[in-house]
Amino acid sequence: MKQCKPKEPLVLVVDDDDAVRESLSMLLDSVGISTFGLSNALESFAYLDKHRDEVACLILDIRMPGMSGIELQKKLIEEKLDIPIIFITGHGDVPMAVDAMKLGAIEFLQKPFKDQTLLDCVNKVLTQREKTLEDMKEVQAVQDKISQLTAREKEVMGLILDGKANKVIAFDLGVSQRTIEIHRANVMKKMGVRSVAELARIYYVSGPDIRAT
Amino acid sequence: MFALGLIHLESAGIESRYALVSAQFETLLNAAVDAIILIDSSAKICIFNPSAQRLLGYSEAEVVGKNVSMIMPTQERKHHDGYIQAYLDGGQPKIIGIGRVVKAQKKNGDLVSVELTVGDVKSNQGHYFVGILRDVTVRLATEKEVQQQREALAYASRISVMGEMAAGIAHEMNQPLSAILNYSKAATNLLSNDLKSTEEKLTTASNILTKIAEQAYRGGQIIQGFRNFVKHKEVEKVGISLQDLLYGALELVALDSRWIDVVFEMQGRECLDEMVQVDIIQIQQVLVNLLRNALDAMQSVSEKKVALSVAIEDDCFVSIKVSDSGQGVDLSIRDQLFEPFKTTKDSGMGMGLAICSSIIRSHGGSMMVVESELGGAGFLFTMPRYIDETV
Repeated sequence: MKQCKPKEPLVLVVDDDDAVRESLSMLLDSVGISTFGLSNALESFAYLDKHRDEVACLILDIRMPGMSGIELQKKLIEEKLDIPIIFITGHGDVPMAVDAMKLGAIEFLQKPFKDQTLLDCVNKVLTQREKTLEDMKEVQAVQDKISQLTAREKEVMGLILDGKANKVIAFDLGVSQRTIEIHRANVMKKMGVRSVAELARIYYVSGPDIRAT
Repeated sequence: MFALGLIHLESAGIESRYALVSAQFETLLNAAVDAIILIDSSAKICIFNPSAQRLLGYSEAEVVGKNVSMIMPTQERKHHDGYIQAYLDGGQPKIIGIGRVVKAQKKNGDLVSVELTVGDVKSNQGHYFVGILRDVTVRLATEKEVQQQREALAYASRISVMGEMAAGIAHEMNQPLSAILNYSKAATNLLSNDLKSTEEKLTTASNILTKIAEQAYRGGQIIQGFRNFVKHKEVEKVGISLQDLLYGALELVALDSRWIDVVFEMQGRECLDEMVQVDIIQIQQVLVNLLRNALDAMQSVSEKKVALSVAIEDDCFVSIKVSDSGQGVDLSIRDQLFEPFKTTKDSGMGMGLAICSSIIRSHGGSMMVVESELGGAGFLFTMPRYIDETV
């Protein structure tokens, strides 16, 4: 198995059958997807516990000696290790497939499956992950900006987002309109926006609900 | 019975049968269902009772005074005098006191299977041999029929077991098929990758092709394993090591997806090179049956353990014991376990153990319920060790 550079999105292939595991890794490798292979569920859990951030998705065999694939899925959910799972199985076991999907599996593929079906699934997960990562970056950026605000500025921003005019905010807070105008200018500058509309967009798309806090 | 007649024979000399045999003895000879033939040490026939006449088609006058080899198949005639001489010279008896099934030749040339027992009588006047021949044509035919029925039943049972294992077999086949598909596609992708050098592509492609071939072979082996198991062929007892015999059975049982959760232990490994003389498929059938019974019995227990222990019992037999950690055998049905149609399972005909036991008996061994150190059921059976006839 190819050991990957850290932080590169990795697909973890877990199957006790050496040939299936190796061939899956080769297949994914051949389309430029990095993989790491493991032969049992316990080892996989330990690996995920350590390298959670690098693993984009788990391709997991259902039946393995010791802990089964479904049991690993449950354990990951319990431990809040939320990783997309694509199940693969040699059995056409419908009840098991239903269980796995209910618990949030991405897909349940019966061996032997078409490579394209698997690659589509993996690509979907990888794209989703990329998007999530970007979203998270944006969220982080907005949160970083918000953390630059003073408590008073945060309060003023909440009221601006409620659509209140400066003089109303000044009245509400019992301060002068001029003071509010300065707070507003600071909020707009620190948040990197030029209009209330822009502020609302980044705030509602990415920002936390600061008024709750 | 013969003592009476022979005392009379000795006191009277052996010239004429009529002079020699008392009225009582003649009554016995006439009434006997079995053919009775008395010969002297030069193999000349002295007495040829009515049953012998009926069995072989000769009248008494046609055979008395002639060499007994006349009622033997042509190819064996020339050896017989030698056998008698070897015995008289102090050799080990080949048939006396042992008895065996041989062919006798009738007057019309037909061969008939007879069970021959021979006794020898030493007296002052010489050495005589008495042969008792029982026609076993019907018995052999019946035995053959019973054997054929047993084989047919065993075969039907194997087919039924295979039916139950179909899902497992399909799963096992899907593994190499999956691998082949993935490898092929990986190779295709690799070959169309313009970033890699031709040399690198060829090396990797060749490497992948080798792996594909391995997986195709693996698939073939799986099919071969169960195709042998359901092959309908004549029972053939051959020499095989316990290692090969057990390994073949374990491979089949491993097709059952429940086997994956079992902790398996092999005991008595030092005996695995020992050879046994068995019909491989039938004994593997017994093993598969016992191991699958163990799986059934462990459905509801959390600790699933199976042990297979091998031991050499004595000069003639080895024993194999299958123990499990399942729910065990209810003492009240212990004695009926090997009877047909007795079952503790919700589904099942109750034929498995009856057939197993019959297979083991047909090999000259025996099967019994024993204690299991793993807490569940234990089944032990014996099999004949291999005797190398060429030594």
